[in-house]
Amino acid sequence: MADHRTAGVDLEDLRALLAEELELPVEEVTDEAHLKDDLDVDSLTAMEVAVQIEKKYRIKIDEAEIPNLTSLTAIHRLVTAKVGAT
Amino acid sequence: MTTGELAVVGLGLVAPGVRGPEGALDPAREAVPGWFRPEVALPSRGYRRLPDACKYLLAASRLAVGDAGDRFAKTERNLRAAAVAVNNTGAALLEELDHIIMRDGAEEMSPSSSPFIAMSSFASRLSMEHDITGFNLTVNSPVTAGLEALGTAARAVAAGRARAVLVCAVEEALSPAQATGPRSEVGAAVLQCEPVAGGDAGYGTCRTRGAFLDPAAAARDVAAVLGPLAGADPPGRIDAVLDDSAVGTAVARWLDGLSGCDVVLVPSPAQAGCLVPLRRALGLFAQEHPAPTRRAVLAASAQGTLAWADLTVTPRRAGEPDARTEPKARA
Repeated sequence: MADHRTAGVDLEDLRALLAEELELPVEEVTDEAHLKDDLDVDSLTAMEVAVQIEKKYRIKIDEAEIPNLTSLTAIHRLVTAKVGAT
Repeated sequence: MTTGELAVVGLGLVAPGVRGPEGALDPAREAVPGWFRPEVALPSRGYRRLPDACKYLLAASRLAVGDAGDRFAKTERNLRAAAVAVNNTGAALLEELDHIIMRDGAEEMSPSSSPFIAMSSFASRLSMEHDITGFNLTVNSPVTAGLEALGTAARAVAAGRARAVLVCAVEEALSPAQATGPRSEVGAAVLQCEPVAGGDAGYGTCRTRGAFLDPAAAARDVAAVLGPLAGADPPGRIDAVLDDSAVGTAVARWLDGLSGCDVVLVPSPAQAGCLVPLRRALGLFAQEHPAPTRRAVLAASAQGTLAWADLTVTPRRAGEPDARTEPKARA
């Protein structure tokens, strides 16, 4: 597995957070699994995920960015950028 | 005002210490921690962050719909409907959300629970659960809302707006800061109702009526108001949910003078919710009788609203094979 630490955001921590929020086994939250199409995540749950990420990483995610939270990789990229910017 | 007649085809009850509709007439129990097990009642994803009261409602609705077989799912979705009675249901949640806003800010509210600031969200979530697109309506009033929801369903069915209606009442305990008495109503009762014509009234049929008794003139007006409500030929048993207000006292005295029927007085606390009267109706429908049996539930609020439900219970005997009487897994 590639280095999962980027700018202080551990991919596995993020995967565990997603699995907890989505009520799924960790192994189902693969890097590229699509939240809506593969994991049946609705808009309300996506907002709940965003709130939990904001709390954990002390960042702000704009409402307009929530549709971009499409996969673990996409979320990791966004969170990494925001954590690096703070 | 009299509404049309409904057939009752499915029952679902979630309440502390009660295993199902057959226990609905038992005295209400204390809601001890762990009494409701959402992982059993709602085992799939997407329920965890909902308010507990919403979980009670969804769990009871699943039991009612399951009890009736697959009739609800077979009804066209635009002819499915829900009438949901609430009174104290969201009070403790609103207090909790207020505290979050004042302490941490509105951005800390959970997206899953914050919609329930609007009491209609319980009915909305129920509609999502059962793919209901006919209509959903929330009925708010102390004590009488559950029976008023039955009346709403009957009018909708009579008008052809719906062919399957989930008639519900759901309550949640008041917070310690809100409660002035020792016990609040907790749980949910759901009756799946359909038109009588062409329907299978597995549990029976019901009609509801409503009236208003002015609290300031309750003793004077009670006979004139309750006489038409009860009708010329009251049933053999009336379950009356009454408090000790001027209205409740006047109604109790009038019932004392009725001959030929047993009156079961069900005390209603000062901060009553709306669950008990619908729970009584559900319990009466769940009773077994060798012949069609007439019953009634009367609910009165201190504010003067009265609701009356005439029930005709379909004959069922203990031991007869009937899927509806089989025990089901409940929380």
